[in-house]
Amino acid sequence: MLGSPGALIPDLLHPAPIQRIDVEVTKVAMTFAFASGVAGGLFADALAKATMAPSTWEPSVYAGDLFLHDFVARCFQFRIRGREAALSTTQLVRLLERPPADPAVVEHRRAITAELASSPDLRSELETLYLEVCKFRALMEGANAGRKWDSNRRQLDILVVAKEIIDRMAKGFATARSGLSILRAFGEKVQKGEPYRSLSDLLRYEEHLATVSLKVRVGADGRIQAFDIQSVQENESNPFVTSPVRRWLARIELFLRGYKFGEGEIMARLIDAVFEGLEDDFVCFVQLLVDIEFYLGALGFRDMAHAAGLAVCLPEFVTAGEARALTALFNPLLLVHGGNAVPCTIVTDRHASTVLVTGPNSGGKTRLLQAIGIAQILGQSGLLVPAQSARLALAPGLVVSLIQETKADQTEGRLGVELIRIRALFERLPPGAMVILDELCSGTNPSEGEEIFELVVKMLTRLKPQAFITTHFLAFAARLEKERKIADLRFLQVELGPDERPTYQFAPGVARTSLAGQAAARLGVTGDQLLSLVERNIAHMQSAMQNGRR
Amino acid sequence: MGTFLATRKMDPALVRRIERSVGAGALPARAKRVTAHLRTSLLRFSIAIGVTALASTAFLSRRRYQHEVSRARAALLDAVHANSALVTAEERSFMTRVEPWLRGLAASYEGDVIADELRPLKALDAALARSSVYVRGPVSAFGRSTTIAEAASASTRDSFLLCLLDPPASRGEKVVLSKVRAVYKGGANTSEHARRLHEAAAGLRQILSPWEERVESARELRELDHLQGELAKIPVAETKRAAQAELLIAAMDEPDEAGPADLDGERAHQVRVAVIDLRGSQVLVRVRQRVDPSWLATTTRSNFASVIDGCALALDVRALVAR
Repeated sequence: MLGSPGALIPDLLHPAPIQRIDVEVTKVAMTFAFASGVAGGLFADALAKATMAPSTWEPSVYAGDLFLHDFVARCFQFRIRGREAALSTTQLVRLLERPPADPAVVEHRRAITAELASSPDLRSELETLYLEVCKFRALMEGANAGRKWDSNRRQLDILVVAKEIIDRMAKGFATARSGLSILRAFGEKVQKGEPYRSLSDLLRYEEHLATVSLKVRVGADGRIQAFDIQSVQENESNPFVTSPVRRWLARIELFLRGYKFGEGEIMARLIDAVFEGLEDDFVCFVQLLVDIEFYLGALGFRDMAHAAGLAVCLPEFVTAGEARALTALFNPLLLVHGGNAVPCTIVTDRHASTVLVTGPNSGGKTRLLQAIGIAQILGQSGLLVPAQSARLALAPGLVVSLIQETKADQTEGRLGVELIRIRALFERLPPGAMVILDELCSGTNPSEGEEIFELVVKMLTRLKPQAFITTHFLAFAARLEKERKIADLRFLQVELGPDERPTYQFAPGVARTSLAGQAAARLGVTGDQLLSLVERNIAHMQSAMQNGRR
Repeated sequence: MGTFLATRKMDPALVRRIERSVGAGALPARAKRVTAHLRTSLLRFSIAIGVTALASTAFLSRRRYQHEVSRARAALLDAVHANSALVTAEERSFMTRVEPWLRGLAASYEGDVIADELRPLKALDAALARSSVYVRGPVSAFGRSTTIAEAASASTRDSFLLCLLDPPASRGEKVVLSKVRAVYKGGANTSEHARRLHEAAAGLRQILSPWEERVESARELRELDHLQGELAKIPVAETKRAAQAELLIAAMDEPDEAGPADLDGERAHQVRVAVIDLRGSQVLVRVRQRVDPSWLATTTRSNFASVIDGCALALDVRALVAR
């Protein structure tokens, strides 16, 4: 699965290139696809079984709660020359779910992202390269299988596109200084090889077998009356050019060997031989497709943010003991669903702390937690984060619990589920990981819930996590702030405006109210509103009964 | 170089891949594909060999057959030449010498002739002892070669000939009938030297037919076998004996007279009889004699009118000569 020593693989995700797909299996599938023109899903199958760089993150404990698939499918969309890319969403999600454990890999990706973000030319080259790889994929996977055409023509088209890809890699990234330069190195390496020369010769042979000089006689009506062949010059320098007699002998030979008796069969054999020489290089295009989508998707996310008047950035990584600062942080999921993403700034004096977030309902607490989680994922993947500037610390893991859905086969009540969630959290949580919990212990009475809450927070501090926990236990939070018995405990509250409405900004401290009354009034749950509903229903019932007697 | 698809200008690595592509080289990873092609290749090769073998066998068989045909043709031509050599030029011209005489006799009758040399006693018998051919038929049949051949074919050595050569003791009905019966039963062979004209006519026609052309144009053995059978059936000896005849004895029946016919068709009519010396080109006998079965007893007439009339005619001719 990994690249063999000395092999040059156009891997854009790792400083030490890795062949993440199963080369032998993919090569067999590609050979079949090339020969038959029917191999739908070749790329997807190979990528689905691809290995990933080592990661300490466990996707099952956070990906669903952060709507990562939704985020990738909508925010990583990008357009090239007016056409929307068909993303390999599943593969991209797999990549984002498992940020690399090695900081060098993160740095490698950050360098590529930075270079692409700052160089429109390189981005344009990468986009063109992406289109060509997509074309290669479409031809290889038989996307045009419905059309009746010559098999040789299809294979030659594949070879033409493959040559364009190699040429672009060799020449289009000459100015690249980041990991993109591996594309140039790969392209140049392939160009120096015999298989590439044979490919070039074959394509020239196919398009230029000979030069025929004609003398055309045109009549008074402008029509061609006659033409004479002045000379015929075969392109003898091309190694594929042979004499007509030899071509006939080749046809007879092929017939006796069990092939068709035709000129097309000769070309088919030559194409086959040329393709075989380049198979190993062509296999690299499979994972390259996702690699390109990885970076172009990130740039697409930047374009989307810019269109909404928001900024993205590559974060600065610091140690867990240093201060956290996220300026103009926004939740990209709000952009996706057409909401108004209000950027906010989050600052804490250190990363390794437990931050209790309090505030009114619908004050943006949960959205903040999502934004923090997505920023951490993107940042640790080497991509742009949804903030104008960001200072983050690498985390060895992420646990997110935002939603508690009731399941049909659920055997425990709400408190039971809550306790199971806490148990699972401690089973999987490594030291220094990021923990994001929404409304911990909200499923039981406040007095008992507060006890469990305090226990959890105390235990968490021993793991020195980067924890963000929201709660409506305001009195309890205020007590903890006042007592300051638990180390590294920090408090953020939703800021309210002059009209007591949330501003979606966060400031140090504990909120004084959840503004439940306002929320109830906004949603029609005051005493007067409920009483009017009850009286209306009674009147409707009495009216229905009278109509029934009549 | 293992394949015609490769050229000297190609890189060796490319050549090896081309060879693998066409199955000229072994490649474990593509063994199945190569095996499949090899199987197809062997099948086609076997078919090609089979077709070639069949074509070769057919060609050789045909050639052998043609050789046999040529050999058979040559053998048959040899037989034709041998047959042809058996017959002398004079024998070949026999019918051309006979037919003018017959046509002349069939024309308007020129009167009776009896050569003087036949007048002496026993002179007629001596003359008739020479080899001869005999023909009898309606006078109208002797006008053309084709009808002469038909008349000769229908003519047998009848009672007239037998009685002419070996006459009965008297002209009495019983004597004549007894003579005829004895001769017909093979009791006498005194007429063996007198052959039917048909033997010469038919035999020569067969011998003189364009055998060489027919043999040369034959392309199949069965045709040659057929020709060989025909050739073998030619009675060369009989033909030669007939064609060597010195005398021509002819009897030409003129049309019947009016009146009822007997059961065997015999009616009173004139008969022209001639004996021609073919060697000397001389008419020995030419007479015109009436036959009439009315003198016969009724019981005899019903069955033997023609036979007895023939014998009686012979006796009349002999009597005319002896007169």
